[in-house]
Amino acid sequence: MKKLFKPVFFLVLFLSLVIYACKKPTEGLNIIIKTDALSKSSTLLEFVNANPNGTAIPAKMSVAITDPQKFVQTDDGATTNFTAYNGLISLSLIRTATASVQHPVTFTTSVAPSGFIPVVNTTTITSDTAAIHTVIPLIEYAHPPSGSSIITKTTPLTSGTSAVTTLSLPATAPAEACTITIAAGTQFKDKNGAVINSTSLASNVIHLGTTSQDAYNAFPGGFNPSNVIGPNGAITGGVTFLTAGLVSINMTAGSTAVKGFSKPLSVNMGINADLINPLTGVKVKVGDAIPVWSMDETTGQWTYEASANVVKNTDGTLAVIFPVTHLSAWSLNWYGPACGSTLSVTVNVPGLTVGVDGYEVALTSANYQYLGGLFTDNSWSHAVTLFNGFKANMPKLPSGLGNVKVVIYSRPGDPTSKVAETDLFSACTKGSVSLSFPTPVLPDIIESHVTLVAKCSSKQVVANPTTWLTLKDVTNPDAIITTYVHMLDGAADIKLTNGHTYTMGANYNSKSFISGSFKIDKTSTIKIPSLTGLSGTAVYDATTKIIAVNTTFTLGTCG
Amino acid sequence: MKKPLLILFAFLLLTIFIPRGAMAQYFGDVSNQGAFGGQVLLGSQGLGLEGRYGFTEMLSARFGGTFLPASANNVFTVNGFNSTTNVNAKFYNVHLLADYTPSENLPWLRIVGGAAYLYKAQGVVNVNPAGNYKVANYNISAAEMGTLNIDVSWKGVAPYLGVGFLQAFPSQLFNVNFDLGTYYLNAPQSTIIGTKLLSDNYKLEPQVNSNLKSYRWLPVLQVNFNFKIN
Repeated sequence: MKKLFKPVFFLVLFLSLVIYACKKPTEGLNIIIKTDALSKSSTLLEFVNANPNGTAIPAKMSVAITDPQKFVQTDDGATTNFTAYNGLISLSLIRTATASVQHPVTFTTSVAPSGFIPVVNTTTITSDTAAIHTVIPLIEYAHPPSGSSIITKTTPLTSGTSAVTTLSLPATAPAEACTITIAAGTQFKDKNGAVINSTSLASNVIHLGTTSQDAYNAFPGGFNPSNVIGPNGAITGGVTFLTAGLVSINMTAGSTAVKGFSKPLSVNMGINADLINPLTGVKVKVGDAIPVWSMDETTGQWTYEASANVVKNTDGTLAVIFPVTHLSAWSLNWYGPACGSTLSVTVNVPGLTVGVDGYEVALTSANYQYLGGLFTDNSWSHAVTLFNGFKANMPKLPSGLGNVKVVIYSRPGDPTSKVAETDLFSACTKGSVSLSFPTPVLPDIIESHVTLVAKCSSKQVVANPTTWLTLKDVTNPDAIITTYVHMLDGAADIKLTNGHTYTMGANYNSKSFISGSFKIDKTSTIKIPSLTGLSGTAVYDATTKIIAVNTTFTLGTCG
Repeated sequence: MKKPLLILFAFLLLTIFIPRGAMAQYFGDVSNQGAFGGQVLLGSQGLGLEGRYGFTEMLSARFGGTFLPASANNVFTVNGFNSTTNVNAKFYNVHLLADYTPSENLPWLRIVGGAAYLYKAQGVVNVNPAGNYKVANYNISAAEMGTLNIDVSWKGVAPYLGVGFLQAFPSQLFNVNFDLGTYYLNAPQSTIIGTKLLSDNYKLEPQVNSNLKSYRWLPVLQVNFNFKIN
């Protein structure tokens, strides 16, 4: 026994030393791949129904992108087969592209979902780093937005020739009726200029008036077009439109799209009598001249057609009558190029020491039409975070559109959420304005650090996606609040409300990853369930007072 | 490296099983008190030098240092990440150890204790992407991906406990003896530096530290070539 003791003792000692530390150093390790350097200028386009009570946008919608420089990709790297999922498409510029104010990158996106009016949106990017979220309302034939009217009518043709036909759109507001007259003997032409020999003509016409924010918001391409042919040729830098109304006409003879006519159509567009003529500073009146523009709905290019005077209809309402020589959107717009000045905007909210997200700071006309904002790529949908002492510059101001005002809304695009406005002032000479409003009642906000990790299936590799996270506050199912968070390398700091229930989602690699609902609280580890592949946890740190929300989904194409 | 270790291990086993009388006959009896010697070390902690002084017949102390530079390629892979790896290890220490022979009947055995100061105990792994990668719809070249450098370091003073075989001092001018033991290191700390698209991998440091937290035993298996100076 004694003889055995020594060898056994030493063997055990030796083996214990060598074998003890046997855990694999790479166990549980996943190589992290950043993605921020793979894209630039992230741009989230959100297609919504211009009528909040209308039909939901199709879950999957093809998006055509015209991008002469071939700079545009989705934010997961795809350069073909652009698709919007649930109305969202996250675009960016490829990593070799460079955008600046001097060398902007401009591209157009067009969609034509069934039941909606086709829309072309022009996006101009002037920065490599900007993350922009733009809302693009789509007008549904069956449910047009307030402040608009629509008509769908089929009329007979004889050997491709029309009798006198009147398409009457009811007034959306006092005097804002619109009538289109097809003269007797009118023939209809296809894209090649050939007369279409058909027995019927289907007409879809929509008129956007000037009395509703929903109608303003649905103005195709927005009020700051960059691709503009003016009376004297192309207008560099684009213009700002102040609209007196828009009519979009689409016709089909048989099954062939109509592109032109043998005789012009005549449009009688009612004019809102309360509209302030920016050139006179008083309400529009008979004899006032308003430029007539048409838009190529495939390119988003606006072309100056003529100037027409305001007349009085037999019923006493104001109108502008103008001929339509081809089918597109036609609009009555005063216009002005940028004057080169900037406007400093200061916002005072006494006692508001923390930033509150989701405000719209807009430059508007006297009639509250959006004219511009704090971003060069203007859209009424661009939100800002406000706090006491907030200061920013409006970089692009229109000239020749009379006096304007700055208005603050707590919810972009919602006129009922107006919290402050200035008096009217001259945009190009004012220099600075100051607004104030009382401190809003704030919920119990918890600062949150959110991470989003894309795991590679069955591999020791993960990617931190640079994309947009959809955050929905579903606490009140009848008033869901949706915000979009740009995740840079899969991380962002956001504000969540204690006790509220949320869902999260992201579109990536041609899939929609969505979590189930989870309730925020400070007392326990929160499990974020998966609905379609996005799951995670949330843990509150009482020391830092920050809740860490960590989410993951799994990529099929990776490594 | 494996073959010398096997030979050394076999030799150790021989020392255990060979009868004491035979050992004494072979190595001879020595007087250690006041003796001074030097030794060259070769073993699992590399190459080194020590000076030794005998306080009594049973007790001696030694002071010295070792260094171990080593490198190897592609010792591990990361599943799904096409890459080559290069590992460089550097273990430099200075140490002070005491050797105590527990019994006159076991003159070939020493209990060894002490400590070392690790002025460099470092393993560096370089991960170099190879080939092309696909993340979602992005195609990424190895050059775009960047590189990864994982540095694991042990710092501070590490206690040592072990046993020694055969006499501390040669009876004549030269002998050979052996050490088998281990240092107990401080928990290692990792530093991960990635470039380009791999620059977020510093976030893996806590996981690496956790994986390596049990890597605190540094086994010592070495042969000592002793020269009696005085």
